[in-house]
Amino acid sequence: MKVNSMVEQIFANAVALEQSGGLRNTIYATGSKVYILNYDHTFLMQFKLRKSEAPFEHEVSFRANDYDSNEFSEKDGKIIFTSRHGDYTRTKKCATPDLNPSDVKALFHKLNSVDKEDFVFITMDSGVLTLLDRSLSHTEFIGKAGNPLTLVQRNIYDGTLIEITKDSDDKASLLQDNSILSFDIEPIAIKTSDLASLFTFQDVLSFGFPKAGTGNYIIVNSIQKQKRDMTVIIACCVYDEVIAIQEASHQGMIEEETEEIVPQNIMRRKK
Amino acid sequence: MKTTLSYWEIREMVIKTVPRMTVLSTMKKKTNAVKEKGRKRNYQQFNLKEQEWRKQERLLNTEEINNFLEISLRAQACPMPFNMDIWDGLTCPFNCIYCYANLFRASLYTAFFDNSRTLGFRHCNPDYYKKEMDKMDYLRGLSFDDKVKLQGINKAFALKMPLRMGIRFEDFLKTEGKEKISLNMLNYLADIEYPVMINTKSDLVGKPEYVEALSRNPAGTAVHVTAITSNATITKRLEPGAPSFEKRMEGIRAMVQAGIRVVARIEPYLFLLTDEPEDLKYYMDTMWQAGVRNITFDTYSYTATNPGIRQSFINAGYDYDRITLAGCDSQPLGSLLLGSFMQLFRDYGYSCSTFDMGNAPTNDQDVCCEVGDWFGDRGASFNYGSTVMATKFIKSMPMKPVTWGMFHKWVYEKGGFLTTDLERAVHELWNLGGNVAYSHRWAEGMTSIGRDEGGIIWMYDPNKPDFRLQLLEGLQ
Repeated sequence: MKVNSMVEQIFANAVALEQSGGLRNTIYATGSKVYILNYDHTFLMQFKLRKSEAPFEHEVSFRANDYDSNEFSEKDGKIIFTSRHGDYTRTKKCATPDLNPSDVKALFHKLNSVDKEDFVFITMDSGVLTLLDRSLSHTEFIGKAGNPLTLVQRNIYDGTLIEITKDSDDKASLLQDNSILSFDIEPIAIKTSDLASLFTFQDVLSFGFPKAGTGNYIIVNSIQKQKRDMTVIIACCVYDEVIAIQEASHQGMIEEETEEIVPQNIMRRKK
Repeated sequence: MKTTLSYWEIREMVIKTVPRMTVLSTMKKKTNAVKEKGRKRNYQQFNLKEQEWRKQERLLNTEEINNFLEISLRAQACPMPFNMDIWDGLTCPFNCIYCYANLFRASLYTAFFDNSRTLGFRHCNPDYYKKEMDKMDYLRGLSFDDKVKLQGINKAFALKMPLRMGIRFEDFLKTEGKEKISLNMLNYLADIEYPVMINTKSDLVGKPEYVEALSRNPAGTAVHVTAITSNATITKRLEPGAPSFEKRMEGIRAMVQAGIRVVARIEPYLFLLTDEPEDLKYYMDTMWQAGVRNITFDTYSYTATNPGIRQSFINAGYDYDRITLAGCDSQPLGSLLLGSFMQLFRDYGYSCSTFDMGNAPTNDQDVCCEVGDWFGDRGASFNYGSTVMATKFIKSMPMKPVTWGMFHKWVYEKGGFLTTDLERAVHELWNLGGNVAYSHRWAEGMTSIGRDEGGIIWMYDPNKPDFRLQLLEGLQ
């Protein structure tokens, strides 16, 4: 199959993220959805194709850095990218990731099917990146009801503290959204590299932070959905005294679909 | 007066500063901690002169290490840098997930040798060691002035600097129990009355024949037994192939009863993982009851950035990023945590020291291996020309200016620097050059107060605010 330029751009961006070291991704496509999951499983993006765009007839998945051409097929559990130049044809065979697109779609559905009333949505644009210290590992989000959201970076190497707040007269507030929190949120953080990666796809994004005590992942939506319909789930970093890695959750998550994903040795064949 | 906070208060502040990751779904991945370079197989080169193909191979001696005594690369900081390697192998079966040694060996051996995969365990040639050390024995009888003129291993040997075993590889694996190479060397060192200190995680060293070889050495023997936690589950996850804490304790009890100095070793200290209160209490109680009174500590490596080791921690279910960001990537935070962690043990009654330079001034002993008294009383010497010793030297004169000249004179009174290069390296560190991790410049309480012909003049100010604590408070 050959994908259109819109999908190719998503793939190309995913590859760019991989190469920049921001995320080490795998790509999954099924029907009219494309998913990007990062190496640590802290970050899952969903792109919805437009109605005018042809959906994927068959599920396909590959590692982002293997992406080689907009023409590809899957055979015997391998993804085959095909490139043509003049009278020559080049094929590149790659192994598929451990998960399959259905697993990833189900994971996304489980995490995204929560009551959005439990989230406060704040708009941010890529300009915020220029104020962040990209060398610091985490960016923390804090805020109380009635106050603006504050981004905090703690430099654990020299003891300095960076705080970023959004000006209330920011024109982004025209986007039917504002920076004032309608309820308290617990201090949560995401990797600064993950935050920067989000803006690779769109300049203005709506960040949904969970109400204090309801969950520990955030939901990010693209503002200009007609341009690109993107939703991202990011597992947050939390400030407790636990060192065990746990799965992010939300009180409204669909419980029947919370089984742990087991990597499969799948042998999928494109018919 | 300086404000001091307890470990638990500092821990709480760091918890609010460095977060824990969560994931959307858990999944174990391959670790690939061992970066094998790989080499071409069956590579041949045509020899024009002889008109024939010749196989190009570089083979590692899989039976024997062609080595001898050496001075450690960390000698510019370390008071006991005199090493003796007995055993070696491509991978250590203890498989401690935080260990870099397997990675380094695999990277080195697979890059330069064609047969590294066939390497099991190999060991030194004890006969060669004995023959060469016998030749060196006259050095110990030289006058002090003549000893000062020596260099390197000859000087270390002449000054009776304790030998360290088990620095690069575990010397007391099961195979040692059969071949007894380490035992052979321990008996030899007892015969020539030369001091030795062992680093191990094994309980084999507590078996009667080893205890006998150690306890009969009049020059003194000490054993560092690494046990970073008493928690059985965590130990199994972090050190899957190593003996359990209880097994190690059996060896420790046997050695202590035989009069051997046993030092518990908590290295690496792992933030939020090896510091649970009930585990600590059990650790302290058990070690104390066994007769252990000395503990040495260190943080994880300040250069801990290996993706394979990170994935190993994640596969074990632990947040490597949080452990390393708080515990070592931020050198001040790691040092502050470690110092207050050590204080818990000190309050219990233990004598505590560390190689971590930030805490070196508060070490209970000048030799951070906690054996300075033990070997010192038996006539051994140490590497006084090192930055850990410099820190203690400066601290010994609080609020007084200390010049390079004063330190230099003191070192020579003790036997001098081990090599000329080492003297240059320590002088460089004294004057803010070299690798900061090994410099006393960031030791707590140190202040530069001027310059003279030897460079910076240092002073130890016991009331100087702790910059590490100030850093943490600034982040709140």
